[in-house]
Amino acid sequence: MTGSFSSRCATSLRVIHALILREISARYAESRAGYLWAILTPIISILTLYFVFALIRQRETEIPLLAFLVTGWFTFGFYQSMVSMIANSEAANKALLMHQNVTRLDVIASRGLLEVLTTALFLCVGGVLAMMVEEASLPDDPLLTALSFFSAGFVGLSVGVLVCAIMTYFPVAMNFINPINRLGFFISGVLFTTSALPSWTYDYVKWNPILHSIEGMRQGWFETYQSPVLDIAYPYTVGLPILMIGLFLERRTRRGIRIG
Amino acid sequence: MDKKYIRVQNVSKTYKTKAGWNPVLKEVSLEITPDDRLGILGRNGAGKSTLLRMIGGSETPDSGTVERSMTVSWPVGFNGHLQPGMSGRANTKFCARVYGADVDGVVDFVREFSELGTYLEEPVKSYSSGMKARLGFALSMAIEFDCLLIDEVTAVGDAAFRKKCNDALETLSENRAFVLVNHGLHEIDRLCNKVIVLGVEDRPVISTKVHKSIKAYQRALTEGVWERPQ
Repeated sequence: MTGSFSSRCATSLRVIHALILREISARYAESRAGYLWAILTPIISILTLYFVFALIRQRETEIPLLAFLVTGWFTFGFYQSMVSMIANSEAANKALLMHQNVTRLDVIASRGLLEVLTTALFLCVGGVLAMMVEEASLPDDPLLTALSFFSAGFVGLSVGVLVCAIMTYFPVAMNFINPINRLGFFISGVLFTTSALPSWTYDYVKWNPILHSIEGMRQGWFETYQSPVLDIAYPYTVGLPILMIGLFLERRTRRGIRIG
Repeated sequence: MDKKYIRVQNVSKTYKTKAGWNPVLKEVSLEITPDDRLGILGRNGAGKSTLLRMIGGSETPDSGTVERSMTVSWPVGFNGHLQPGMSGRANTKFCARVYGADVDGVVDFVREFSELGTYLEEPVKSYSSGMKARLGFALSMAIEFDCLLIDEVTAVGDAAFRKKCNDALETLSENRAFVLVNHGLHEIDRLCNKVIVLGVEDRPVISTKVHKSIKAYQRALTEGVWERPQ
């Protein structure tokens, strides 16, 4: 590649900026309602769960129900959409790699950044909705809330980079990740808090990094909730080595990218 | 001013196919300077487009190195990078941003050169292949590359546009390098000052005797006898 380190960084920033603008207009170019629909879909799912839960669930905690669902849903959604967005970044943007300036890492960075912005915006909308409906409070511990929310995205990013690199040679890798993530939705605490589980299960469920992200969200948001298992460093500890292996494989598999 | 070059050294590339590993390029070495107009000759599957992508850096060689101090275009004529849902204008803006060019200037140039008129505002998926080729070629002319890679651009489009492309290339050839693939042999003869023939010998044959090489290549195609131009 040409140029000094700083000029290459400048090129990368310019390319990432262009990619983000392109991604936004490509995703929502079909109709202006696209933006609205993207946020309405999860809100409708959450509201449906809200009414079902309100009918059948015994209230065992002090947590307001809608805010409980919003924190769980968007935290898990952050992880899940990050995995699929990053893992598919090469497949979805292959033709763009024809440009000398555009590398696979640029595509990964732009999609990751866009996902952070989108999901954070969704969480805000969900949070405001919960406050309007239930008069729920603002996050009690904003730092823990933010750390927990981003830990889910970080694990998603790490897994995504790894899967993206593997998919260069084995495109079926995605077929293994999807069922794991679907199962993950039910065991990561989107629909329950760990405190509602029998205490003998703690030793097992605490291996799941996303469970800690969601537990952290709830402990940080709700003054009354104290998680029995929370270790917010754990998802970062799991994510970091995965990210390192993923980035290493990303370098090693570049020559396997076939464009034509 | 720095000397500008693209240096391809001992580049090999193998693709995995259903039948096993298929070596596409074997130890190719060549250098492109601003004065070079290189034509690549070879039958289908000889590795012409692969070599073009190696030069451009969108694919990495299995072994060997490619060094470049020139800005290189994408393979013009390949229009897959145009986002179908976005308008021609939005695609143009994206390209300009990626290469750090003046966005408004590029849009104006493309509007003028492509002659797409109001179609520039329509999504690219509504374009015919000729219209896509016009947009792609106009884009490559609007952003000033040191070296243009051109793959089959004049195979599509009407005669008037083909003439426009060739005229533009002729003007360009005075101060910029380019690499032509799958162009008509007649055009390569006229526009290039260097050719590389793939697939006739064990190693690629590079020659500055453009006319003689083309004649020899044509003979190899029709009669199956390859004689290195003397």
